[in-house]
Amino acid sequence: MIDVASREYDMPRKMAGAEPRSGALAVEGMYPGSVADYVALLKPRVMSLVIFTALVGIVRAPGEVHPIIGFTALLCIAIGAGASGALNMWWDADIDAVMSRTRRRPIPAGRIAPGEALAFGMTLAVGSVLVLGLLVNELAGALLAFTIFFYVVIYTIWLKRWTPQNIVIGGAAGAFPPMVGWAAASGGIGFESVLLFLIIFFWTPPHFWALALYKSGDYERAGVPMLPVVAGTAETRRQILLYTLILVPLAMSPFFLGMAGLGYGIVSAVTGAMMLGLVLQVYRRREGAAAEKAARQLFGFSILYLFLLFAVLLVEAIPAGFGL
Amino acid sequence: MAAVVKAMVDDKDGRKPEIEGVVLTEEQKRRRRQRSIAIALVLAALCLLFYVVTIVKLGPAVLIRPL
Repeated sequence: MIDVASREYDMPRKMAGAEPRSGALAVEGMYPGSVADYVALLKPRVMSLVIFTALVGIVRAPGEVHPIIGFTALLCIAIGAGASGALNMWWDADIDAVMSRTRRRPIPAGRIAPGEALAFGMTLAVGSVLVLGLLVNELAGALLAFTIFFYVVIYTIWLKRWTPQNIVIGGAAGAFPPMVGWAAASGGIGFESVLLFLIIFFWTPPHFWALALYKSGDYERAGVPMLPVVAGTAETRRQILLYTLILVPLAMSPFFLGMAGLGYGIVSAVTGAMMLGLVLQVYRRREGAAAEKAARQLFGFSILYLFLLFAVLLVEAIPAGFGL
Repeated sequence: MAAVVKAMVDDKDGRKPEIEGVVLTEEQKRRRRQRSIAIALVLAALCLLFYVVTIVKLGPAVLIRPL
């Protein structure tokens, strides 16, 4: 049973090391959260990738969508992603407080009350799903609702603290946005949207495990069973390599299946080779500063890799959208 | 940090019961005002969005009607 009341009032005291606050004191206005803090709850960097991949789904979907309806869909998907981020920060505030990467987030830093984040996240989640369902179409609304549910309940609350496969299964939540965009624009789920889903799904493990390799101390302190903590760094490197061996040909498949042009074929081959090169570097360099550098390089490049793949898909689809 | 103070407030009978209240600092008041403005802007944008989407969904035929 989740004791929301104790989460609301006790966690900031436990986490931030700030002076004790009684329940009576935790009222509106007590937490000095600024507008920027509420924006931070939405995880803007994650949101930007979600907006981008959803846009690709909207643009590449068959049929025509009115620009205003397309914009509304994108806005709802972005807000839904932000709501997931806020609810994730609400639930994970205790572990965020002990991890160097996340301890300055608004809740562990004591600037926003957990209860306020919960209310903020729930309002945005319900609002974004309703607006998408009512103004765009029901399938898109249902898919967005499932995405938020998957990220918050399946990943954040259930899998994250339970299994080292957390980000593998949880990665599905991050892979849904292009599918939601596709559904918003076409009213259905096409094969290509499933392919876009699979690309992000198989991209997520190498991306996050690269981060986990050089932040494993953080995860260990927080008690999060990330793969390097539970199975060791050698097994993590092996898994990163295996997933990348699936990811690279999968990322090239839109070209081979005739869904994308030559430009995409070249970019996916070149960046795929670079990704594989960095993964092999991570696989070989296992000790000291060189190992950490290789993991950091892989983490950074993985973001660029996904961005470039989707950017080319977007660029290739734009002329078709204008009837060129 | 806001302070909890015991304020003396006159009631109807002229007595002065003690009540507890929260006094915000100037910084907290400024941030609350910023949050209020942000909420107002979001609500205004939502109204505009619903209006525009309604017009789009009605389509151009909305202009063809008996006056």
